[in-house]
Amino acid sequence: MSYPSRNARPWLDHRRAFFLFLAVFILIVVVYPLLQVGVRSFLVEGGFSLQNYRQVFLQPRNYLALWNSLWISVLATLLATIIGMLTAFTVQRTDIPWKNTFRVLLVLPLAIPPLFSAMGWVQLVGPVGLLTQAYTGLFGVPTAPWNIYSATGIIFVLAVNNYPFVFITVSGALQRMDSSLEESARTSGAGTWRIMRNITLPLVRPAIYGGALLAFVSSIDNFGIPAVLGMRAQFYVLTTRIYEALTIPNMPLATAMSVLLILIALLSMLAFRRAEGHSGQYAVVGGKSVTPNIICLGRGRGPVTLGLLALIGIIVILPLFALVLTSFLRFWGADLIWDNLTLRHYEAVLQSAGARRGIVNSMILAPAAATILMMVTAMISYLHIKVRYRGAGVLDGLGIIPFALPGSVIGVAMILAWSNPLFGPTLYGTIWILLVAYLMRYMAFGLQSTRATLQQIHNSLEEAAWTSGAGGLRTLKDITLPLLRPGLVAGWVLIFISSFNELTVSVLIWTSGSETIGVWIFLMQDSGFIGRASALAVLCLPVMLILYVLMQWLGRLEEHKMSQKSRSTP
Amino acid sequence: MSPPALAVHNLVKQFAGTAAVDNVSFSLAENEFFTLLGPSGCGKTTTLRCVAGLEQADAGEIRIREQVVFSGRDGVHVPTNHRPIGMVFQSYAVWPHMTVFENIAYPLRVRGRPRSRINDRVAQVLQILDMPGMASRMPSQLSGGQQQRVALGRALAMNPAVLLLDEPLSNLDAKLRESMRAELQLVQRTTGLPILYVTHDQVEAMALSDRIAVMSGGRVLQIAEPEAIYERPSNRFVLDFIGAVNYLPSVVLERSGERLCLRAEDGTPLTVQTGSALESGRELLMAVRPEDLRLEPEGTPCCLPGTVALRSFLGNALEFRVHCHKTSFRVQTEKERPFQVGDRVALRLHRGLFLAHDDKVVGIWHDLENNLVHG
Ligand SMILES: Nc1ncnc2c1ncn2[C@@H]1O[C@H](COP(=O)(O)OP(=O)(O)OP(=O)(O)O)[C@@H](O)[C@H]1O
Ligand SMILES: [Mg+2]
Repeated sequence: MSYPSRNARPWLDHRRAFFLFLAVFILIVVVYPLLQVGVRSFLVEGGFSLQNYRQVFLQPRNYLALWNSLWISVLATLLATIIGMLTAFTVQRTDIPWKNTFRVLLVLPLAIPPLFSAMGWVQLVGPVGLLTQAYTGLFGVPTAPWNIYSATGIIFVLAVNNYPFVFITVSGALQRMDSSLEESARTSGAGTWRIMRNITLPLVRPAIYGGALLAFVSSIDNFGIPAVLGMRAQFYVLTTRIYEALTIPNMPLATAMSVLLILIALLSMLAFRRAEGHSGQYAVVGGKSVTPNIICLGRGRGPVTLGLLALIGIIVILPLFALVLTSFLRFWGADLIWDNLTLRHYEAVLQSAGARRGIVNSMILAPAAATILMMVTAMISYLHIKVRYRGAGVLDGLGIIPFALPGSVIGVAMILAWSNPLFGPTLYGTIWILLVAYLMRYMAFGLQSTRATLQQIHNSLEEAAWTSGAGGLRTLKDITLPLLRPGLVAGWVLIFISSFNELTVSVLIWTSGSETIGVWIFLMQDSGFIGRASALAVLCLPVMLILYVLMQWLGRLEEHKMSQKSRSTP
Repeated sequence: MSPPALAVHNLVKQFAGTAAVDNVSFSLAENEFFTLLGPSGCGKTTTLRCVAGLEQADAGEIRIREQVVFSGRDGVHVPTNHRPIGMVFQSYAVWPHMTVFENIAYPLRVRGRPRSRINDRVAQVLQILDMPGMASRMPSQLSGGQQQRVALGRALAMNPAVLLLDEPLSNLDAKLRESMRAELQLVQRTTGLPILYVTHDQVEAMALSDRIAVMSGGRVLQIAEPEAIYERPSNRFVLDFIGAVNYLPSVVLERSGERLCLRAEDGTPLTVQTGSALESGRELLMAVRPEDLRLEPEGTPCCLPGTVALRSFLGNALEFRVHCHKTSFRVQTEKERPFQVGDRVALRLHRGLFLAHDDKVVGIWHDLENNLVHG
């Protein structure tokens, strides 16, 4: 649909002006840093060379990190997929009670930064962890038969952090699946398990692949977990190796490894797409919600419910509990007696200049990134979806790219782009480099939520305003923006939470004075101040949980509104 | 004669090289209910959107109350919000974040009317629409029919120079559609606004319109009153689109005065009365609507012999399918006709049209007996 327009239009009308502004924004925030990574990885003393890549593949330390990243992530994804599928099927397709509560609890790991989770697990099953102590005390042995500082530990913690991706996509597909497909199998005489295997599972397979891809990318991307659990055991993955290379600093090596990380991300995405494509030839998951087939567990209902509760207790609640406990313990590993409880870690945190700076910086950066991104992405999506401005689709496509990139790559790109920039101020060394990094990293969230919302606003709603006598700006103010608001708010909260929890990028580009909360916690943890690190983490938890509940609530509200709308407009 | 409320001249609108609207001209008098009727994709909506300014036409001219709002030659294109129109969309397009009151008041607010006048006018519109006490409801609390009324109210609020309605009833169920149809007529009578109406439903068009423009492939085929469209369509397309028709190939044998003798394809001689000059030997199609056929006992002279193949009860009428030689006829009669499936019958052709090979209507005819009875 085209907008009313006069015949003679000046070259620089307001639409083109907007477009140019947005194009420059995308160029600076997304394209320029990426070009820096690509070009610099091939540069040695001003000339083209493969030297940096040779360095990666000649030193075992480097190619081992690459290899470790791969197999760790594959195994973690497998485990996450199994947990995610089992929980999704149990919650969606059996007659267990308290389904809504389970749905909320099962996605809780997404609200908690992986770093906190890793710390919690160390405090739980580390050398002097709660469970370890209980075990050694109970059986009278000197050490427990497990070691959290290991590849196995990393895989396990990655999996319990990432299974919600699979849970969400698979439950979504199960919810939307047309139950008549299953019913027709039943009428042809197939039993419950047969239906599951022959009909249901193949139909949700694309959703499984989709969730698994998210879990895989998130594992490859993760820094906090392998940093806490691996570095101490000299077990490195790409993200931690890049961190190490940058502390030396060996910039060219870090750059070359970033490019390799990009390649891994792209290849894995292609592989998943192919798998998805093969399984998704039949479009069967409709948009309607229908009453699904529920399996009656009968006498198994109690044990299954208990099992699910236990699972949630172990993988969601227990590490958080350990974190809280540690923050009040005089020292990590101290006996659990009244005299050992103290508030001194909290005092130390609140008096530490670094922690205070971290809190202030995070409180500035997260809302700033969220606000700027929602404004910019709303304009891009508007030009793209409503005005159908030629070229706006390209901006949208470019803006989505960083979503697929591991955080380490964005960190390296930021340093390359802003420590000795070709133009503009040197952002490196200020908190603004973190802002630009968050803008790049989370642009896709804003684009996706504004695009989806705008696509649901029927063109005739705006046209009705024009025929009522309202001009372009008036229509934007009275009709489009109010209808877009839910999408804007949802995107804002999502970006806020993500920026607030961000560690992978921040830990690479922070400098003294520009710490974030996450960076400070990591540094404390890394240098042995476990109590303080836990205390600040515990202070952050309520903020994150509240925001997370808010986000869920907004999602519910939106769903409710949509169902009302679809009821009232045939 | 007063100037037209809306005049469209030689309007052309192309999408990617193909003309969606091809040289369309028509005009609306004040108070007139004018309908664009045609099958899906014939360019009705596009024409309406050009009038509203939501699409910019490629050529032609559009005037609303003598003011040129579009002219391809002079490069005039008045933006939608400066055209004195009200429009109702097929999808209602009632704003979900505004109350009924706010929806209807919006055109007045945009034009900066004082608050008291807005309140009065909205109350008046709600009165016209028979929606008392609903002003503070949200659209999600309304039924489909009520939402459509709000959309209509919003279009009426400004007292526009012309009201544009794009299939406003097609999303409603059959019963509601009928009552809204009556409502629409009432609204038009009370407000006296000229209405440009778009529909693909010929019954709706017949029931509502003062005049109808039948469109096909972006062109206007005929503009006339509903009766004229039904009884004297200008060509086969209009004839077909407006209702069911039977065709009987025949040849002119001879002509004397108003009387025309023909031979039907099965050899039966037929005599009809017509005003058209048709030379003998000419091959024609006789077109007859189902209700213009009569069933007679076998052997009745001047009728086509045939066999009843199907008989179905329609509630207010009976419909027969009668096989005569190579042609199968649809016949609609009153209920008391005592024929059954398998009966040999004779078909009397009561009245109809002559079609030439180029699908043009070349004459009207009726049977002699009818003439004798009434003459
Ligand atoms: N924005 C557009 N871009 C390209 N082609 C279009 C566009 N709008 C309409 N058309 C084409 O123009 C022709 C006329 O469309 P129009 O919407 O006017 O039909 P209509 O008579 O209103 O049909 P319907 O009864 O289905 O609403 C169609 O062939 C359609 O495909
Ligand atoms: Mg249409």
